Amino acid sequence: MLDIDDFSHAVAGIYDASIDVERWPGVLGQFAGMFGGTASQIGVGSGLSDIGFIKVWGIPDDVLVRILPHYVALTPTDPRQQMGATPYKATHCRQFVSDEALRASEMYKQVLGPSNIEYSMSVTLPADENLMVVLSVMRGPHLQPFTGEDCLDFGRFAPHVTRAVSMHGTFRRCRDELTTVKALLDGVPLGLMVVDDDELKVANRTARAMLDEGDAVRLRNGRLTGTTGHGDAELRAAVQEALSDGDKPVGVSLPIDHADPVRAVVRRLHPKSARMVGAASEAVALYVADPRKPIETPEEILQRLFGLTPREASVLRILAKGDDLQTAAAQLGISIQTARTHLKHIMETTGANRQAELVRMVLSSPAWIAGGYSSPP
Amino acid sequence: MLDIDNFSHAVAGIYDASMDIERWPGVLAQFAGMFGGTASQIGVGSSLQDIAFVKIWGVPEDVLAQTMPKYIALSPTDPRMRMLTTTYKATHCRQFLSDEELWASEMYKQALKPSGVEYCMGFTLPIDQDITVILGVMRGPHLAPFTANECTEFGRFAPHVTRAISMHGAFRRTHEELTTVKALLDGVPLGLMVVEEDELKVANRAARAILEDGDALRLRNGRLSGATGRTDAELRAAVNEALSDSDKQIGVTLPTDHAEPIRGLVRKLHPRSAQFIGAASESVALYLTDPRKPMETPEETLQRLFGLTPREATVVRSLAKGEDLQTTAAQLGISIQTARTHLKHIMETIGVSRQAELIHMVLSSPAWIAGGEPSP
Repeated sequence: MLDIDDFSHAVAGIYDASIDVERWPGVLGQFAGMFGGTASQIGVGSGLSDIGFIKVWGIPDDVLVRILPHYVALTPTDPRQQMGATPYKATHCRQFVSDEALRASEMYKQVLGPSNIEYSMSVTLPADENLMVVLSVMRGPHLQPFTGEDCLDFGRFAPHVTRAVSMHGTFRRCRDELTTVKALLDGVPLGLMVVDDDELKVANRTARAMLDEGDAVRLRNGRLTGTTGHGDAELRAAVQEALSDGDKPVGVSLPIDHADPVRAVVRRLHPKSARMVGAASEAVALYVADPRKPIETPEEILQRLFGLTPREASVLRILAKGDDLQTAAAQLGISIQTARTHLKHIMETTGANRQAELVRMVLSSPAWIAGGYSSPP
Repeated sequence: MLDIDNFSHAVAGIYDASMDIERWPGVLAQFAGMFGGTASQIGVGSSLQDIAFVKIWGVPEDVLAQTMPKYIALSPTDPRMRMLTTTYKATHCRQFLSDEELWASEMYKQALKPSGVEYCMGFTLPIDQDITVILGVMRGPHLAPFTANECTEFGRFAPHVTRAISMHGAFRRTHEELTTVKALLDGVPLGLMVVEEDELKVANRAARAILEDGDALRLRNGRLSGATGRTDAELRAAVNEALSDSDKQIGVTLPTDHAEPIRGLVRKLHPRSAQFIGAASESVALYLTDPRKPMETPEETLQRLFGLTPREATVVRSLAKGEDLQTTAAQLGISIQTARTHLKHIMETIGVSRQAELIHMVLSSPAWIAGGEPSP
């Protein structure tokens, strides 16, 4: 009979592994120990014939590398297959197959024999819609076969393994979505931050670069502050104002030395989901633009978005920065007359009739998102 | 002796409650059942003196409403507090105090007795710096006191409660961060989407609005497609081009029923963390602007960001929408001469010399963010 403290300890290991899959080998070691096994394994996949994740304990790595391809290839002809047919209930191989039948199989000759596996006990767990878990303990030929009582004890772990694997799924989906959304935010060349009680909770790549520069806003012990005393007071006042009036966005400009100020919009983020402990605190979102990093609109993108020729896109890129046609002509090394011809054609193509309108059109397209972007390291 | 199957069942309940705290009452009922208790409770807080989350099983709601405020107020003088100074190990009240001492206390008179609580057994678990958990089972005066043996049995659950609460914490932190980041994303009046093998994984509010309009992009069974055959082909070509070269960004125009197309930018999103199962699949980010929802720059924000007067901000807002000075003057009911004076002063204040430069300055500030709708 299974000792309650051993059981409790192994169950704890299963849930630890639900958070950190690297802990499975330790759990497998515990199972082998408890059931007098020489090896043990967990397989997780979308079906019994498609196990994507396997951890094995008790078989040396070099043996494993050699036999695993055979194991995968021979699985459909494994005479022990019936063991997996009863979900949630642990069974052992000799319930379904005789010594002779097993030993005659290719699986035994090519895989089980060479890895010293004679007896096996296993439980199959459909963890959710598209997830199947198989957990097994194996014994070598010098040991006794598994018994009905071993299976009963082993089966006691089944509900915990099922639960742990589906918890892992829920947790992983949430974490994956967070990673995805953060990557999306990192691609926006506008500083985006969330501040809760002065504490910086979220900052995208652009915001992190601003904080590193530190001449407008700065991070001190995880707290966001304005760099100058004046800037800090302005920032605090704007945050307070945004919090006091539910939906009002508040503009704030943060002075920096010898340059245009950094401009930000502060807006309240809505109360978060209920927590087990602590009141939902009030967070604000900060959207910050740094005038020293002028908005860039790559020419190739302008061509595609507005149907322009490469030369026209070069002209438009310079005009979109607010420069005049003279400057554009000089920068491109073309005559003002040629530049005018390009401009005329750009206007015809886009339907704009003033330079200011062109600037507006380009900056209200997603072209600026492409500017200054490099894929993260 | 604790039955292994009862133990296993209760442990499963504890982990279920780690994902869904509404399941605590069911777990508490199991504890009461296993240990012959008439009531049970869990308290979670930042310290013993500050228990913020309490679930109680076995005390009727009306009694609870009456005794709870007293219980909280009298906690500091509770003679059973000594029980809780031993961490991780379950103890029972009569190890620390006599019947007489308990009965003489205000806590007993005002809170315990009226709720039918005579004996208790519990453990304290300091989970981390911020979280302490107390779990207790109580018995009425008609029953026998708890024994040391029962404490040993009850203590077997302690490591699981500790683990379940810290798992809950880890999950909650991730979940809250996700909620926060999504709210931040919703505040950007630019369509933002993530698509993985046609499947729409993330869409902010502006992107959802574009999908609802449905004349450029559409969602069918969670899959993103162009509204017309041609749009769909354009979209697919852009996505494939973006996936083939991770440093390339692709511009794409998607025709709408409106004169102007939706303009988009497609870019590969970088590989995600390793998964339990399956290879990391390839996803792209889509950034979209909808010409039917032009960038708005609220006047109050313009005033604050650029130091303008209310009238000047009105002029800038109109110019930033693409109107010329003539139209702006007419709309504001002012003469073109007055409008020119405003414009001159605006240019001086902002430090620009041409209208195109002014528009650039305004639209490259975050003023347009304030033009988006507030989050719901």
